[in-house]
Amino acid sequence: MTASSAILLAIVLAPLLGALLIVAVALRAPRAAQSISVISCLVSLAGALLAVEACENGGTLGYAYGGWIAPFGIAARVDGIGAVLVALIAGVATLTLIFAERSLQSELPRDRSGFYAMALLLVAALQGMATTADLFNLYVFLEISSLAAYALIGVGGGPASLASFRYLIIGTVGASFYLLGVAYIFALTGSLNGPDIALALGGLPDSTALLVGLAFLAVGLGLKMAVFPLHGWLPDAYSYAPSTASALIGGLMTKVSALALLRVLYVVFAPGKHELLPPVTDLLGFLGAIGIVVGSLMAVAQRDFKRMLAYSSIAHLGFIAVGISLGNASGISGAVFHMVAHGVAKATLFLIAGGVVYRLGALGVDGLAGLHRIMPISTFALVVAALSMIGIPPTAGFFSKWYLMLGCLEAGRGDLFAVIVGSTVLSAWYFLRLFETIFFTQPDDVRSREELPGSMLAPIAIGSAATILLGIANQYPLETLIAKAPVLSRLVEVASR
Amino acid sequence: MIELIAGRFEYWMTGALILVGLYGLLNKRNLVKQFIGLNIMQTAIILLFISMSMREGGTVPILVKGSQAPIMSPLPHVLMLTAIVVMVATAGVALALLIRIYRRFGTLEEDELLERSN
Amino acid sequence: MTPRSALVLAVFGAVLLAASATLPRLHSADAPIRTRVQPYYIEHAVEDTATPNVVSAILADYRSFDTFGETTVVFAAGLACFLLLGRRQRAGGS
Repeated sequence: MTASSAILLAIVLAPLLGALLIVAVALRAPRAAQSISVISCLVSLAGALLAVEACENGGTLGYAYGGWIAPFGIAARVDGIGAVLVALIAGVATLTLIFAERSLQSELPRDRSGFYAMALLLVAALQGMATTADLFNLYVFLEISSLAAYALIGVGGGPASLASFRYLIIGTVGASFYLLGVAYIFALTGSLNGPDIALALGGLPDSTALLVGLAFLAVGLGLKMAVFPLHGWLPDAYSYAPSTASALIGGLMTKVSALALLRVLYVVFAPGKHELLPPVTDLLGFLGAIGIVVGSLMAVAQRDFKRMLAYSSIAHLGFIAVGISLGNASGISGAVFHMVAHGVAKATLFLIAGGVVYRLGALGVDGLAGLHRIMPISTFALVVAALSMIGIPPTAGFFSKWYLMLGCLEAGRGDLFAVIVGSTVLSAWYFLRLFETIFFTQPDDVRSREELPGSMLAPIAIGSAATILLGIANQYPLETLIAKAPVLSRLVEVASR
Repeated sequence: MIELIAGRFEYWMTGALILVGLYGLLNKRNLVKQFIGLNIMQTAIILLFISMSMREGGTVPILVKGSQAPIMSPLPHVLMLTAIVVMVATAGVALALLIRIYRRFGTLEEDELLERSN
Repeated sequence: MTPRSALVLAVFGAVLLAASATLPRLHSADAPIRTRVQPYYIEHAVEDTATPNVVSAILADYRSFDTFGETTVVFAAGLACFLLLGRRQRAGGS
């Protein structure tokens, strides 16, 4: 087994083996299940870091499953962008699963082991989605991750089942549209492997079917990614799910679907048929901009902390959509780095929400008054993560917005630039209002200082520290990994033709 | 015109089925009926793939020694075996969620659910 | 039927119509599906996998990773139903 195959297999299979192990031996032992979960995510993280090192400066890792080379077999391919995302998935999963035990004890006392196994399946499927180069294989992993997400959300109390069913219907429609798109592309080119399709497309005449196939792929992935107006499932799903599930799903799932959309647009279609892209990317940019505005405005109006975070997620996915639609290296780099920045910060915020539920039991924004006296360290982490969401230096959120704005200017899109700047003001509004409630409002009952237990506090602290560290050290992911990925260097060629 | 129909009959049929499924999804207030619409749509897409595999005079995709008969394409069948399993798995989870919703709210009509969950 | 859904269905129908008119003709022997990747499977199935059944050869050999994903889907769905439905208490009567 070569090194690259070992790395890729470790990234994808470690969480899966962990899930099997939990179901086999630890269904009645939640503590053991948690240990197995954290260990398998750490193995995946180790593989991801090795992949990151291997993909510096334009390197790629490839593996042909079963030894059959593409396009006759299924191939995995990781470049700088994929490596960054794989590391994000494994890192956020590790932190969330360390946090999970205490949080689940308060929100989901029974079946904790089953929850861990399901979470590991989600992680394995997301890793698979991020590393595959085959369109149909992407569909299979997309559905595994979706099923895991529906279950993780549905086990929450009360309206969670309804929210999860709504998500199931809309999500499955999205996956079906994606499959329909694959059907059209397959009918026109005869292949399922991304790079091979790119080759085949070069020789085809433009046809309506090709554009419609691309449109179906984009709409399907857009539904999974909660691009406006296909975001209806998100607020309920994120608010009613157990906090651990919200952190995992809200931090990761939509980002990986966005990565898939990025690949479809720029690895599969751009090389051979880049004249087909403008209708799709223009619409994507337009809808992304609307999503930014609508998401931010709705977030301002929320009284429930998790619901506010959910609408904020819609806004930030708008940023990623705008970045993808710009089609230049800065825009896409900004979008990918924003996937990382938002993933880490939003997951941390949902973990903090879980901590608040654990200690205080309720999540109205008003209930957060005086939080800094009860949980000082967690509140500090909240402030840091919120600053990243607003986009204040030196957090990671600032640098991703910087690159996005740069991309807008390079592409001559002053309107998108204005939307990004305007949304920064809106984010500042709802987060600063949150700070005002926390720091300057008197709580109804005075509670003594009761910080979160260590297993919950450590992931929150690490998450917020990562937000700052990623910002300060942004040269490494942005310059050496993302910007040098072959996808982007090819874009520069295409644009200069 | 004949060209459009003769060579592309299956495209129209599966397209019509997709529209039937979407109609059910968009217009029905009962969650089970919405789910059935979804199922019809997924089945239509699977039929689309399968219809692409047939060729004129083609037979079952099993290689028989000595026979030179053209065989139909095996790849769509393979993909759809997986897709059918995914469809069934999604159906299972959907129905489990519906049971859970019914236990909690006592109804599966969307308007009543909206009232009872607020 | 609400006007909004009628609009969505009409748009969708038009899109499907336009696309179906330009997709390759069905049943033809030289459609891209049959010429790009599949001749390899048909020619080499027996020597690579010792199976005359090409569908099984692809399912279990060439694209076995998809089959692996398929079994994982079933596992995920079973675990999901277990989590969502819980264990019924075995009480007398229903």
